[in-house]
Amino acid sequence: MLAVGWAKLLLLLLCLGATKSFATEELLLWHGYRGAERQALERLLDDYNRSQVDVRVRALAVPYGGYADKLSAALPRGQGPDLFIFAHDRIGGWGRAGPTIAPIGEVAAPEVLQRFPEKLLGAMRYRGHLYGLPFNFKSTALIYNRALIAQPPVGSDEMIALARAHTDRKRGRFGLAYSYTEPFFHGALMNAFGPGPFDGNNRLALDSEANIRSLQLLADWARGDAVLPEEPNSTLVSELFNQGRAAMVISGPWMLGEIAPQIDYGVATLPLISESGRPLAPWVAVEGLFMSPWSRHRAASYRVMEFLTRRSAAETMAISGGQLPANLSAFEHPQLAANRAAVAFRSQLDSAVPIPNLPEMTLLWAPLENVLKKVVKGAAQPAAELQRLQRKLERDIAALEASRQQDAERGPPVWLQGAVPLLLLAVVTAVILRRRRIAESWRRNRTAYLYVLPAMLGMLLLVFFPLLYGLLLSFTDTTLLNENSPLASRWLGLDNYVGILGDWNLWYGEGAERSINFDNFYWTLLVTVCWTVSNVIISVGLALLLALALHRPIFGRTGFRLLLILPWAIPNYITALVWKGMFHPQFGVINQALQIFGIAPVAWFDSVGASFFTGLVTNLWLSIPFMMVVILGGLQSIPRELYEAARVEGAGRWFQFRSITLPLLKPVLVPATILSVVWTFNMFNVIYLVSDGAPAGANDILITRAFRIGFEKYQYAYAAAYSMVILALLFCYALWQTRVSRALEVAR
Amino acid sequence: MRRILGDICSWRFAFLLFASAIVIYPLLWVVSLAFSGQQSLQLVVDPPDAGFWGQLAALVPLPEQWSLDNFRAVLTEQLFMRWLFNSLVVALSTTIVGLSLSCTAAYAFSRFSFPGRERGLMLFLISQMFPAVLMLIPLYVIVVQWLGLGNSWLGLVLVYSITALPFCVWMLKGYFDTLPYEIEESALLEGASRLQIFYRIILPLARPAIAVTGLFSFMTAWNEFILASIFMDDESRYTVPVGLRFFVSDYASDWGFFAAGSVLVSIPVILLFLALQRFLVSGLSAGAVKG
Repeated sequence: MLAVGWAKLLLLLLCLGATKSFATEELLLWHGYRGAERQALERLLDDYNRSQVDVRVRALAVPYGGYADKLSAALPRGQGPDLFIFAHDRIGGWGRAGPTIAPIGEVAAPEVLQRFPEKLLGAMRYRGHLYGLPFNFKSTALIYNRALIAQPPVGSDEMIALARAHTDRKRGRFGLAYSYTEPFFHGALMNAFGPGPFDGNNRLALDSEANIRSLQLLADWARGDAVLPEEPNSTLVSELFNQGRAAMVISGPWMLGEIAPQIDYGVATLPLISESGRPLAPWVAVEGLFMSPWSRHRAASYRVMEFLTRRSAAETMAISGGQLPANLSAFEHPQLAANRAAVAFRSQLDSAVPIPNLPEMTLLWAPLENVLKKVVKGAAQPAAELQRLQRKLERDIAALEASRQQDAERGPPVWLQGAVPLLLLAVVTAVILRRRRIAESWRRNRTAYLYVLPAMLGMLLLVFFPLLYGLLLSFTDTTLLNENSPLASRWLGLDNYVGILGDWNLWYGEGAERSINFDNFYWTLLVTVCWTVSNVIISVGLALLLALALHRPIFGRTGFRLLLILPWAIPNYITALVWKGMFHPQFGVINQALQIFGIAPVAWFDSVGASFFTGLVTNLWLSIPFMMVVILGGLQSIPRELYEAARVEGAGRWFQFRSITLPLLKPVLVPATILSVVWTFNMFNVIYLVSDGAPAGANDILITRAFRIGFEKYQYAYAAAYSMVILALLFCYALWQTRVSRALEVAR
Repeated sequence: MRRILGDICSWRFAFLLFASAIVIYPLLWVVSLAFSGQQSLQLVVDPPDAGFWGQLAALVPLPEQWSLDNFRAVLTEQLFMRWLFNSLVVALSTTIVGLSLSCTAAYAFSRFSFPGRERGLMLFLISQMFPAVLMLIPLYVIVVQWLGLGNSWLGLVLVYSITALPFCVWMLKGYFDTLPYEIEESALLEGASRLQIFYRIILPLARPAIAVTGLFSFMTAWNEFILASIFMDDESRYTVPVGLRFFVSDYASDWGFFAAGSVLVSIPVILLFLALQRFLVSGLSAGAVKG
């Protein structure tokens, strides 16, 4: 009775969840703001809604981590918002991919466009089309601790000299700290020496003299002058600054809210490069207001865009939201003119350069970061490394462009077009011919089929359809640039598989320079197999030990049991990052502990083995609790009488374990092991969050590699083929394993 | 008393203590951060003049002062309670849907022999082999575009329970295999129907496995982030993992809030485990054969 009541309540709740509200003139706006900036935006929208009779803007905040995925899932399919706010650097990709973003050049009035400086407006243009109105901008500048630095440096030599005076590595003090291995931050150096990663004709020129010199300068700062902390990230930088351990940091306006109240800080524009006298020119990301091409309320949407970029709105965003508005007239407001930080960021804009919005730029971030990491650690020479990256990226860009240029005439081969109806026909005939036997089998096993059917139907819909989609995708050359064109025009055949399995470039370089090509499929496969085997063996073994230790009564058993499952209960996103922090070479507790015991600290993310170990430890820590619970459940099915009988017979502990526990645990242990192999093989999170494939992708497993191909190189089809290879490998394993262990013993 | 002393001095106890220490240490970071009232903890820099134990003690993460500010901020500045409620509804529904689908299927796989049985089991396994990252777009097409279940919990529950299904089916099938068949045989002889046997005999006996798979289904739904953030178009319908991610971005992250939120999120899981753990400890099937 109670169960029925619950079910009804549940159904009611689900129905409530399914209903939608329909408003005739409701505009949906997506944004990624939070905190003060979000409140400022919402206040503006409230004002707007009050001033309108027939239009209402509804805002939806989307967390940063899911925002880009949400947009690229919804927009090309005619779903999603009317308006959205996003950084400008994706415009090129969206503009070329098709119906993701609407050009607004025709509706935008010239007097509205005059609100913005040409630099920020230019960031919104791609191939002559204007795609949005600039809303806010973000660039880095120099933030310094006034208690340590009296006068901000004017030249880079002066900055480094100051930094050296404030560096005491033993005590964890640094003159300068910033996320220098992130291309977004390194842009300031690249742009100071030359035109940046692309030449005047938007062609990739990473190996230009200017870029090589920028990398050389960074290497000097990190290694020669040694004023920078190791393995920086934004959290570490703000921690160092807040504790007075970093005299100067390079960061953006987003950091100001995080600075501790006891720190008296100042903001200044970045110094000039002393060699050339040119200013460090940070990249600026422009958050734009964009419109969906599917919006049914374009005129109304544009009016909202216009409203949000007015001077009064810009002032609100700046004063209560802490943003830097693209409508620069807001900076004339007395409250902003008196805000020294805002003024400094405003004047930094004069030398800042908008991030190129070319689709090619989005390919650059991840590999350039790897190069930066290698160079600052002295593992590579700037010139050679940039030349290698240039060649690699030229190939990736060529692959994207090639997919775009395919003529629309092309389609799947004729035999395939004929094959689909033929196959269907064959299936139908087979069913008709065997209808007797099928009916017979159904009648005889009706109960069994009825029991299995609901689960099977769900699986067919939600698992095998996506799988089929992946399979089809893997035979095409789909990339970011042609994903919305018809499938037939993208047909490629088996080329992706040939590319993956025929990739025998196991080495690169010559002679003494020769090293393993970590991007190679077979290397990644080797790492994946080692990863899976070591993880599963250790986790099953330790979980078994723990479960056995907990199975029999012991003092504090309930407490231990609860403690030991905690890693499973806390969201693993944060615990994985805690482990990453613990492995930090300079501030991580593991190295600190090693030093206390008189052992030299380990550079955890610099070598293949050590980096592998970090992932292994984290994954074990995360996966053992679950395995332990499974085994605890399995131990319950072993009748106690068996042990009693064995004890009466005088059998020892080991014998009992071998001849009673293990065999009777097998029905539970074997499926758990098989599934754990499959999951570990595809364990994306731990690798991605902890070692992130360091050093330079050497520790990537197949799944993270597939992700990188799909979402860092935007070769979707190639990534799908990679996934199909993963599937095939795991399928072979499962066939072998079930045969060996006879997990599928005949039913009674 | 002597038994307790004996327990404490045993190898088993030492092992458990060691394991617990390793488990707790990283969690201590999360908890300290949550209760510090700040967004980051003091960096560990060992005091060079302290002795061995002093240095070692410096490695234990403790907030400078204890404060509930992070919890207060998480609970009041956001719709956190609402998201927690949404997550509970979604996760509990997933558990119920997932368990009812998988118990029946697993029973059939364990007790009947029928054509397609092994292939069917294998199909369940295959579904776990395709990387989830690449299922995003097709799932979006099916759930949002075809079924029209975007922005509804039903869509999420459906996807989550199907995702959890393969593990549940395999696990339960393995467990059902260990249950003695004699009980069912005698019940059949006495004229009980298959359904009665399933409900009256098998399910009660399989409680440990149902507890494990139920916990698993719950966790599948409880911690899922990306699908929930893509399917839901209304802030009041977000689940709690989506809400938690508001605190993290590439630029600046409020780790203190995130830690406090994580601690809050883990409480229902711990309660659920406490409720279920009696099924994992007492030997239920002991004596079942005799009965």
